[in-house]
Amino acid sequence: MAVFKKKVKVSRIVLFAAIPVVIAALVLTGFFTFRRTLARFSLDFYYPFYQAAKKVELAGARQALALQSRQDLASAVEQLQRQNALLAAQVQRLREMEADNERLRQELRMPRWSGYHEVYAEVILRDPATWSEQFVISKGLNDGIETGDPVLTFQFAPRGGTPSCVLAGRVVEISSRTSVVATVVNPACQFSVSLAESGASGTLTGNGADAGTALISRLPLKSKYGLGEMVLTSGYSERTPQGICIGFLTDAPMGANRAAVVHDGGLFAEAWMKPAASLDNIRFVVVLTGK
Amino acid sequence: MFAFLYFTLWSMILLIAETLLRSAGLTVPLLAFFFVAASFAVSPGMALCFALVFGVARDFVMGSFMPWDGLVLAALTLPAVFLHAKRPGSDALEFLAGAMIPLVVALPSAWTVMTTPEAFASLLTSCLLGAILLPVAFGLVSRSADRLKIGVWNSADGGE
Repeated sequence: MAVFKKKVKVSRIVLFAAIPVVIAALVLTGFFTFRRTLARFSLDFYYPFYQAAKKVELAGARQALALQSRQDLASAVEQLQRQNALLAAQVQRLREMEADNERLRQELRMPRWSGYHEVYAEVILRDPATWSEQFVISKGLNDGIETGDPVLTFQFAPRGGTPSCVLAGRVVEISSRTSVVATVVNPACQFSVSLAESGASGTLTGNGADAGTALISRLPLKSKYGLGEMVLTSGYSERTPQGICIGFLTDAPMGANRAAVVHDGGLFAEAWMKPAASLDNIRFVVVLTGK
Repeated sequence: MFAFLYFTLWSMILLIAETLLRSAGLTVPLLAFFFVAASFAVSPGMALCFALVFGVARDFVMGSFMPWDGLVLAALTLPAVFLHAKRPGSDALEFLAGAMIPLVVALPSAWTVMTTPEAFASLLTSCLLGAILLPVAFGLVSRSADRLKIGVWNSADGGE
């Protein structure tokens, strides 16, 4: 009788232990099998609710503007007009360069450059656990965005200078009306990059939010690299234009005052990059999509 | 059927509220409080299923690459399944459980919490809120379940 009771007890313990394991296995299998479809469905289903909350926030921000003095508003408008004029001049110059580029390509019989189309979007959702690693934006497939498109953000210059665009990350998940963006420090985000001064090229992979840096691997051993050297997109991928600033070379994470570059198994060199974008405070982004 | 609708409605509302709070930088595991309370007061099996489904839905909405939320929420409701829907013992226990739930929910991102002072401070706030919110959730869920006659103790134990 005692043996029978013991057997029942053991089988009950085994059953209690097996249930969570089976549930976990089922959840993981289901998650990875239907991930794409269910993620699209969930993101689209909840989009109106999050968008409504953002609209309320925006309305509140507009009302808060009315609390500012006329003098403050007038000086802000003046500053924006100045910035607008500078940006308009830059756009005009770029248009001329684009036309020149087109003409030269025709003369050299090179394939026509299709260019990029910019989609302006707002950050609608962030998780404190992955705050600087990823976020959800308010545009998706319906706006022409595709998985893998680069995402830029604005870096405002001090004292009313013209803002510049720097690379923030890449679209990794997409639904009809929203996209999930992995930032340059997210391990799921990779870019082909080149260094501004040495001209060397390598592969950039995020190191995670804790490190706050990204690793550039497969750099040539013989080139010389300096701290603070600018990291740019290489343009080897058709999706990402060349020459967009991503960040600057920084100290190796193992300790201060160490060289920025260490050897990767003796064949290549590797370096660490600090992102140019302040990833914690991104509110608006521009997604570059193929035309 | 009525319990199913009850769970669906509350899960959807709390998922939206929780993700909006998270987006504002506040981690308050409202879904976890609801599922823990509902697993003791309404139906442990249904709470477990809904915890899994809505936890995974939250992972999808947040763009997570692993279904941690689904697994953690399910793990939180499992004790009720094993205890066969026992009514929690005392208020002190509810306070303690409420303070512990945010710690369990934060387990998948434990490294970030340990290394980032802001995240650690946010977790402490969540624990304090949890100690208040879980007893409130227990009260609200059991009262509404009694009114709607979907509570565990309505039929078998003759209510309160």
